[in-house]
Amino acid sequence: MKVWPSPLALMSVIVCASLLSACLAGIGTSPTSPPIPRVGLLHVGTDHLPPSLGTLVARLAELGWLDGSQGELMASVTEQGRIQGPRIELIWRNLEPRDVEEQAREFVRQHVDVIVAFEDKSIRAAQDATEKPENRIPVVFLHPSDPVRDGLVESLSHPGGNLTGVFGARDPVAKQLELYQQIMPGLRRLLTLVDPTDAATSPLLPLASDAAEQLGLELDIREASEEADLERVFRSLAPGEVDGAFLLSPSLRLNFSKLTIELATEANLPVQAHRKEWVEQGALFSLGVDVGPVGSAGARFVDSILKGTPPADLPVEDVPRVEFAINLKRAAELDIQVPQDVITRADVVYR
Amino acid sequence: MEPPARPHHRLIWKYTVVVVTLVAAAIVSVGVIESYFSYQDSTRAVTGVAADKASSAAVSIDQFIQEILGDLESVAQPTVDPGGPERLQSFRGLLGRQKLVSQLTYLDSSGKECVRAYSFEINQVDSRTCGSDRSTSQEFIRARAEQQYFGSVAFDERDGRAHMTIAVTEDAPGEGVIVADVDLRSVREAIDRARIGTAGYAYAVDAQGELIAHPDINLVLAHTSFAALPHVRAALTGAAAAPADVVTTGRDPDGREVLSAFHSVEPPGWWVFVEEPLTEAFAPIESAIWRTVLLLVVFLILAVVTSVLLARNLVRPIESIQAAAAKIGSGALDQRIEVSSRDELGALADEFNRMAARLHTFYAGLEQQVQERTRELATALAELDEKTRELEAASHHKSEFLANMSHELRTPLNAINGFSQVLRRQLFGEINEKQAEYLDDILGSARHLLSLIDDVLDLSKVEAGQIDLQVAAFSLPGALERGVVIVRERATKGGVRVSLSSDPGVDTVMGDERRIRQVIFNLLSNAVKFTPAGGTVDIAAAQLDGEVRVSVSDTGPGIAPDDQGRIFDEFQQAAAGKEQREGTGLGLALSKRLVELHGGRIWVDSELGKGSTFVFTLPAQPA
Repeated sequence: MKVWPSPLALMSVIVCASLLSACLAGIGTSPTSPPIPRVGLLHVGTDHLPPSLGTLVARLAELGWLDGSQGELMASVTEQGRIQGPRIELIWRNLEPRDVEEQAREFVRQHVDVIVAFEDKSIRAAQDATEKPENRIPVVFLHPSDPVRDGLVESLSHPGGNLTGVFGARDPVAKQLELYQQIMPGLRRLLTLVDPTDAATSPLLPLASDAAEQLGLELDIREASEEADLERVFRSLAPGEVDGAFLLSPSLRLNFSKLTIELATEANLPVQAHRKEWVEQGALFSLGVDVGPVGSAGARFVDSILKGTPPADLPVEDVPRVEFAINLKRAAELDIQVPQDVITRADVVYR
Repeated sequence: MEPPARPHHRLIWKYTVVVVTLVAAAIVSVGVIESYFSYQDSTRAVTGVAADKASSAAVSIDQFIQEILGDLESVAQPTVDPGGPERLQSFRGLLGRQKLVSQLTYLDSSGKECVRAYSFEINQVDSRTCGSDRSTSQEFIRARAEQQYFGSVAFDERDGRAHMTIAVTEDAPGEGVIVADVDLRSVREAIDRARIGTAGYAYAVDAQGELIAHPDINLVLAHTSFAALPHVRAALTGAAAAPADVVTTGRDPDGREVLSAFHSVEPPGWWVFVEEPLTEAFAPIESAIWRTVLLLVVFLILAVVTSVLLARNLVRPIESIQAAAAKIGSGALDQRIEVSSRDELGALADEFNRMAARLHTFYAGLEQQVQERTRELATALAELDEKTRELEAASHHKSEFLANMSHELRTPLNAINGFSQVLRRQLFGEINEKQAEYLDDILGSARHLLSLIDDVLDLSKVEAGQIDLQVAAFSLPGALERGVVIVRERATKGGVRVSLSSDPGVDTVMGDERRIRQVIFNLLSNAVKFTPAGGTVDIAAAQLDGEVRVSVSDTGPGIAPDDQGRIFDEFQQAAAGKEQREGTGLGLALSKRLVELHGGRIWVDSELGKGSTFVFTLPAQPA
């Protein structure tokens, strides 16, 4: 007679075998991963990175698309021009203005899943490249001047097409003028510098004029596109001709804030800025948009679109975060008595 | 008798069924009870989470509302000049503190817009001039009537944000209305935070069921009402009776079944709903149940396998005992059962083995005895054979000797016979009476001796197998008649009457006519010889039962029963024959041999004093 193994031993063998097979089955049935979605990031201006880029990648990491800290991710963007994550691939293209249209078409050819376009030039390039029905790749725009006016969307609540995105770079011109007047209740005549070559200027002008009219301000509008122009304008001013200086065109604020502060100081005039850093440098105050939340909101749009929501159904968002910084030291130098209720409203106060 | 064959696997299935039933009952009952309780626990956990989320979202929204209301109260204090700079300043102060209020308007008691202040995010200039008349607006009328007013959600197309109007009345005698444009991001965030799982979502509705916040902003902007959804309607209508937070199930607008927890937000009378599709909410429970089912199946399979093996372990010794018993039964007595278990079955096997061993021993002894006897028998047979051969040789020698002797005796006898005849015929001179008498005696003795020698010769030829029958068809009646003719003379001399009777059916028979005649003559001459004067001898032939029967009856002295058996042996004579001192004692023996050579029989019926009947048979002539 054969010797049969004891039932206990057999049972343990069977249990081990089933566990092993379960493990093997687990290995065998691991799902085949779908292709990693690719996102093309488009920006014009090789001299800087858009501030919202950092918050965009950070938020994408928070949403689970990327691994790593914001610093590591940004290093990867700037060094390699891309972030190859385990679940997403970001392709970063920082371009000269002449190259942006070709790059937008290249993204279309590559069939990226989403194009994120920073600021008007690249937004327009992305819009053009995706205009044909067969090229309709979703585009998330960040910092548009005016999406409805520029024909990016049908309406903010219902974009209707393949573009949607986040506001965030609009200048609160009226509020700036109002605040200027609140800080300097005696403000009457304001040197208003505009850059005729900056396309963003013309829509801002009527806003400024309307506000000035309501506030009883007189705008002394002077054109300037270069350093020399600014110097000429400031040097031509007669003492007491204006009570303060105001930079209306974004291009001037972007490129010549430092110079303007120097020239204004020279002329013993207050000047407004658009970022608190300039306030620290000697501008009287700034009422600027914090663009950080724009990147975060943009990441949410990318997330929703990659998860299947059509861009037409994602209302354009405004993530208004206007920051008010004031330099009381500068105010004192200029002999300006800033009302207490204005100081209490300031987010940042330099003393 | 062979017992009927029974299925031998029945026992194993009996064991298996019993064990599997017991194990399955235990496992299934444990599994079902475990699943039931874990289902209960998980359901409680899932609904608990949903209820917690709903209540925390409601608390967040409530806090937000209360905060906003508190802020509005703070700017609703009466001022000396209701529409003066003091109001604007307080408005600006609030807008600086509370970023979620984007616009504040003061409507004076007549409903005119007098003070308007915008947050920095709204790119508009504040104003303090009394302008448009809003006395017919909802916020003015209802705030005046109810102290507070909560408007519906609107989307600002200029700056792309959802907001709602909240209005409170001025505390003061002026009874103006403070209207605030409130950004609903906080509500939206509270709603977003309240979502459960990946497919779950939360939303808020106002007292009429219209959406205030929903992950799909378009539904909110379209002023979608969820009042038609049964579970929403139930919450709205049963608001007074229902507890603060309740978990129920319902269907979302797409018809999916959802787990729904809701919580009220007072004072605006809103409701927060936290919903999760049942498929997702109960997915962990479902997967736990499936795991349990899988475990059940695995353990059942294990139970089946184990019980089959166990049953085999139990049944195999029994089967091997049965198989060994069958072999022993069919004669393989050296077969032994190998059962290693130290239990009743092992004892049974041992007992069985002992029994088989004893049987084997007995059987071996028996066999040895048979072999010994067989050997002895063979020896005896061999001896017998030897003896037979010896006897045969002796008989042969005897016959040979007799044949030789007869021949050797016949030659001198012929001389005696011839010379005696010559002398008796007196060819060489006359002889006296006495000489004649002696010569007759010599002649008679010589003839007797000659016939004796002939008989011995014939007999020896028969025994030595040297006689050849000249078989041919011949007439039996004819042969009988000739026999009668030969003995008649002597019968007549002796005063004996001889008669012959033959059945008409008796005719030719197959045989050696000379030898049959020799038999007939022998029997007739014996009968005549032993029948006293006045007696009769009858010879008859009849066909009977496929053979021809010839009988010779006399009225002689008869033969004693003791002698009847011997008279057919050589040199044996009955008492009468011995008295007669005539005859050789070979005639009947020779006749017997001759009849038997023809395939017939010969016997005698006789009784002392009443004569004898000698009968012989011959096979009838085949038709």
